[in-house]
Amino acid sequence: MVVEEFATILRKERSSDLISFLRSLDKQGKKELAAGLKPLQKEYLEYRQVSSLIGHSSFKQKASPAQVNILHAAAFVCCNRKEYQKIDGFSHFLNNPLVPDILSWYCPDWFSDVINDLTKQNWLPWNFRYNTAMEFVDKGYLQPTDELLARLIPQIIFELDKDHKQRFVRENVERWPITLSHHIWLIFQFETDIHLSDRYSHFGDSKKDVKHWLETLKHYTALGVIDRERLLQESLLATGRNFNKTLSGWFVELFEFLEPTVQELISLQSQLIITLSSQHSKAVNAALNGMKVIVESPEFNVSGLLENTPVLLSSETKSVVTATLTLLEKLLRKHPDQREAITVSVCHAFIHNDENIQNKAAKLLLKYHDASRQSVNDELGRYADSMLMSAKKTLAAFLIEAAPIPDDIVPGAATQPAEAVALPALSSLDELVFLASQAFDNNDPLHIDLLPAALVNLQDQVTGAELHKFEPALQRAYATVMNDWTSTMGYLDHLLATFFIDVTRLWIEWFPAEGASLQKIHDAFKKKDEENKAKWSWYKSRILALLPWRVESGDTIYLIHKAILVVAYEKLKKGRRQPILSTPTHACGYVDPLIVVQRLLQYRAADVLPDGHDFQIAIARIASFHRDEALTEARRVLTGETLNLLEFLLNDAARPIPPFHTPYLWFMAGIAKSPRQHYPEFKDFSYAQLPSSVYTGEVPWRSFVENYKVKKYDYGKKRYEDEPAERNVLRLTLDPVQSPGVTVTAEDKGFFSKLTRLVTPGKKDPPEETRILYQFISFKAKYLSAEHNDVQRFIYLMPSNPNPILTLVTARALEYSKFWSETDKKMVTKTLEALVDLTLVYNEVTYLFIATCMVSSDKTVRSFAAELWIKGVAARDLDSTQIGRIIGMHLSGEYAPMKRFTDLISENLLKVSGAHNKALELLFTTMIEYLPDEPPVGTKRYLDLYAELLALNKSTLTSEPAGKRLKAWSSSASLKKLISSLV
Amino acid sequence: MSDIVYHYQNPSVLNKTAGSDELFLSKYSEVQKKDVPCFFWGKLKDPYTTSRCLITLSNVVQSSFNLSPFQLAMLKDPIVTAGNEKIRFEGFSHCAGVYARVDILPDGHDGEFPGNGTTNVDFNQPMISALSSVSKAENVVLSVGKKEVAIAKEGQKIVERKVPLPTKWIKGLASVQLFLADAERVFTFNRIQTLQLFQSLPNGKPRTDYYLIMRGTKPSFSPVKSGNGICIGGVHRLRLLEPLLPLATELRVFAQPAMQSVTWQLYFGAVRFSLSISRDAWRGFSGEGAALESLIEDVPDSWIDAVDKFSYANHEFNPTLLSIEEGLDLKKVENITGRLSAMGLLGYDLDENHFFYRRLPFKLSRILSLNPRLKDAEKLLEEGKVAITLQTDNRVEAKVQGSGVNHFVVLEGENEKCTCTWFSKHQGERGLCKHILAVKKKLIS
Repeated sequence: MVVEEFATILRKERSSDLISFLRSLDKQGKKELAAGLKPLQKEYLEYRQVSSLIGHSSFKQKASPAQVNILHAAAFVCCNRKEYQKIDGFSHFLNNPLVPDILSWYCPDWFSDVINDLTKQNWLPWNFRYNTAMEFVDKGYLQPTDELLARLIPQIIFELDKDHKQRFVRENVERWPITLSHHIWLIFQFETDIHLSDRYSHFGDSKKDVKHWLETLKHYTALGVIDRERLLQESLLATGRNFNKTLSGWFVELFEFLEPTVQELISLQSQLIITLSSQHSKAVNAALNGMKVIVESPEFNVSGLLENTPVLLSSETKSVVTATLTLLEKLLRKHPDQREAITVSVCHAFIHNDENIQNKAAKLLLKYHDASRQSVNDELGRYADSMLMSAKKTLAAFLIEAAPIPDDIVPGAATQPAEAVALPALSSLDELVFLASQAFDNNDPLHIDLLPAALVNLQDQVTGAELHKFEPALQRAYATVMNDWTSTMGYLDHLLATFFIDVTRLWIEWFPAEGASLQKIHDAFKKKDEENKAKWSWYKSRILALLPWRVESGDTIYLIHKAILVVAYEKLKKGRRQPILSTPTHACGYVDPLIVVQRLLQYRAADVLPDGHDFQIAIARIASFHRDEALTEARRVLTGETLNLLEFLLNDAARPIPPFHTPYLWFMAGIAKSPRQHYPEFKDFSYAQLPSSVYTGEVPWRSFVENYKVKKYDYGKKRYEDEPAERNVLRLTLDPVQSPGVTVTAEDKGFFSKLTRLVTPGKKDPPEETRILYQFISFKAKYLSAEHNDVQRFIYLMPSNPNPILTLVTARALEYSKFWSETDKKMVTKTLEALVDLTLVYNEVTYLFIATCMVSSDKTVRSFAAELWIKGVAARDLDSTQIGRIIGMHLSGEYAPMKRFTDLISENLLKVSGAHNKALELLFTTMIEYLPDEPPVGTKRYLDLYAELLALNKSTLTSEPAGKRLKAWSSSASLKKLISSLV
Repeated sequence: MSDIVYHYQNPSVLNKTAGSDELFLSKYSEVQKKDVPCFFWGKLKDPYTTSRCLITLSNVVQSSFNLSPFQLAMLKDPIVTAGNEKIRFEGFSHCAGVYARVDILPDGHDGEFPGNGTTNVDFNQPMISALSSVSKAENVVLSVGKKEVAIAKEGQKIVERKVPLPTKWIKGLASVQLFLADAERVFTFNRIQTLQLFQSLPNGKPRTDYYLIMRGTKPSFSPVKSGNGICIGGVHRLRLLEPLLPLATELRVFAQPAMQSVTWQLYFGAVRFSLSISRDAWRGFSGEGAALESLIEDVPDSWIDAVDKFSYANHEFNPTLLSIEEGLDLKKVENITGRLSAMGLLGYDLDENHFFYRRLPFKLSRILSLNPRLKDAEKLLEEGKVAITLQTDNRVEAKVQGSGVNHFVVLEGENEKCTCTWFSKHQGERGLCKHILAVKKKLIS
């Protein structure tokens, strides 16, 4: 009955009848209505999808605004807190016009708690204001918590006009005397948004720069209503209360706005000292500024400051360190009796790798330290390692000369070359089963090689009885191709899964009875795929076969791995037991040449030719060890062109000996020996016509400021307009890859030509052309997507010569001074990760990639590149002048600011070892030669570091071009003195 | 209640002789524990450092490296354990991937422990405000009560409210102790080296792993792996330590052998601060399976009662002595530390190299229900989905029914493998999968 009556009121929106209806309810009636509200709430308040006539859909409630109010009001009267909040989760009761009428005769016992708990949210409801809360308090409905009051205070002095503009009404704080006497102090205890009140409120132009709250507080302080001393104390203490940075900064502003007098500062000393521990440098600086005013007063708390100097002097904010040193200097002058303690404190400044800070500290010590104070000498000794040469020179009298940095400090990079890390060979079916189960997770970049190899090598062990063990692996493979892309998945994982799915089909064909459980998995996923296709119009079938598999972008680089998988599939299908030639035997994709010979022997024994493409990869992966042993073995067991080819590949002095029936292998072997070397014997090969950049990666490049047009919306014209803009870019001129025709001999018409058919032929391409591996390298996608998860595997295809890949990565992902996207950054990071373990052969591209990464906008990328430099210098095969030249050119072309470079040097590269310091000096000297006549911003710091290096190396500047450049810079006042000491 | 005080008056001093577990036996009753109003009352000898450590702990507790704001609002509470002359504050970040502990050692306070025990409390804003204004010259009395934690400072008293311990914490607290027990000290740095090391901390939130490496005498963070380098995922989480670095005299870095957890312990005389971070910023300790293996075998209730009866907060836990005193079967006691810490009853002290008793304020049955993988393993057994297909002295093969497929499990000495997704992905680094657990449980039964 009650519920029906209410339902009528609700349906007919009879708000005027509601209050009398609710008042008439007794306890039982309320209980009944509370129970009846649930279905009504579901019907009226739940959001449902509504489709318009033109097919647009939106979510709407059935209830009109008036019905929402009626439902909430009824719940307010009848429900307990939990039930009520289920219906009104967003505290609509605060602006429900029906609620004030109810409160006069009924206030739920949970009312106060619900309002107080609003503080648990980040934002209070915008329409719930201090005045409303205080009116509730006056009427006895609300017992506010301190936090609630604190959060409400910021908006007291503002009123909202009808046109939604804020009006500043300072006098509002006077409406309740308790506001200024008690409540105002709560803003110092709780995190509020008082600091945002000027910034985000819309006042109109006239009040734009007024600091409303600061003025208000100052005003009432001047009137004596607010205790000024307490206000100063609280504003300082609030900065140390773990509030957010901007709020803490606002309290600093308040403190400074009140302009404390000298006498006030003296009495505020204990608060100033507490403020020194604030986590925000603005507050610390304010406290130091305050102390600066009173430091020479006899009442200054010297020990209080000294207790805090270790923290202050290790601050990352330079102004904090220099301000502290200035204070200490004044104390040293004023308190001769405390000089020992103060000078010990000064030593903490030497933790900073900053010339200015160290010089300032050194000068203080020189002036005030007495060599007889052992405590200071000891402390100085502890900092000897981090002291710069200029500071050391100043303090030479107090320092025991430290041993020079040894040349041979083992740098942090991996000590064991990847080539030396052998991969365990798989020999049992169980090992194959567990490998197959994890191969699609990208746990190891070599799984894509190891799985097909193991399947081929162990094919005889895969019997019908063992097939069930592959169920989980097949399920994983299907999950890989069917499920959404994961963050670590590359296209190659998809390819490998596709390959495995096809292999299991072969098994089922051979063992239909035992393969039934595998077939069941195939059927289940096929059904799911078909269902998805029927369900969503955009869905494309995700289950592909190996042969037609391709990536959307059409990148041919993926064909290289695909070819190996096709080779493996064919071997399994035809029962060929000869192993895949190119399967890595060592980390990073390297193949032991001795093993290659042994694998070739198996082909010879079966009188089968190895796949030409597989052979090419084996050549590109050949490791630098076991070459003599491999050659001896090859001479013993192999003959003909294969032996000649291995002779040429493995023996540095050997020349190519015809006949050349497999020119692509000979050409690949030539590249593997040395990409830059041209062999006259190969002059008739069509590959000789290829631009050498195809396999060296060396292309012209330039970094410069590019003018371009950006589209901006013109609000006046109401349309987008082109606006000129500038950006810092690095451009590589990539050669269009030529595709010369190659005469294919009868022998190699096997798989290799099939691979070529996997590439969509260009119009000019002859139909049966054989390409070398490097011709497949491409990153065509307009935007990189998952390629970063594959790049390591691409590099491991050619671990001795990854330069052509580096060219593409540089061109695609390092084009702009700041990374264009997170994917680009990942591409570079993953490439660096892959390079770290390789033994690199440097050319222009390698240097360009490393040098560009050394001035990258991302610190991790810079650190990676730094490690490559450290490793290269330690191995003595990296030429630092090339790095210096390229960084110099980047800085001249404004591709990167100087700071990225100087930060990298001081944080990562200085003092790694004696040899590194010397290499760094070379890098610096060459870099100067390539910098412009107008010194770039940050050159002072650069020259400080250069001076430090010269001093460390006990060296002088001898390069004439660099000397000239320095002289050109000496017209700059800030550099003049420094340069004169260098030249 | 008075009995507890007596026990405190005659504490078994925590003495650790090298290489062997030291005896500890002292009568203690759970009933008496319940009514102890105060665990510690006394003066802090280094109030400034202690306060800074507690602020840092509160920063850890308030930080989150992978959770949504909604989840953030749900959790906020460190735990205090007082007893055996030590006061330990423990806490987790919201994401349960950063564990922090402040140890106030016996020389760090001058007070009394009327009782001992553990309580979890909320570090609210006024409490933190009170902490941040503590200076070196101040006298600070700390009182840790069963019902509240308060800091009394010059007449002003800020009281905290007790809050329930969130599920994540219980799981995390259990797992992290096992990681700690596994960890070994790899590096020790003085203050200058520590500051230099943190100067090389990368900005922002790097997604790649970093390694703590040595270049000569200088430690450094590098993205490149090195021979003895310690791998650190989510290295930016270490910024939580920064405010404490200039105050510390020493930093010791402990790493779990599989690098699943790295602990950074700062020393300030009689106060220690340690921060343990999980393998990655996006995964907390709670989801790790470190505790699972220890839970395979059921522990009799009577046995846990015995442990509870004879152990006191912060006291070294000595299984051998316990077995002698209580007449327990020594064989069963073998893995008791693992099992008890998996149940959240023990903490681990890296410096002393032993487990200590820490009775968390929640029911034991709760933690056992918190390991879904273990529950799932039990379900597999109940449903008869586990079949041992081969059992020899050194090899067990089993077939376990999974969803849609049969998983193949092989146990061969230390080598335990399964074909399931969890194992394939993590290769055992994140604890055993439910299939291996089920097979092991079946073998035991």
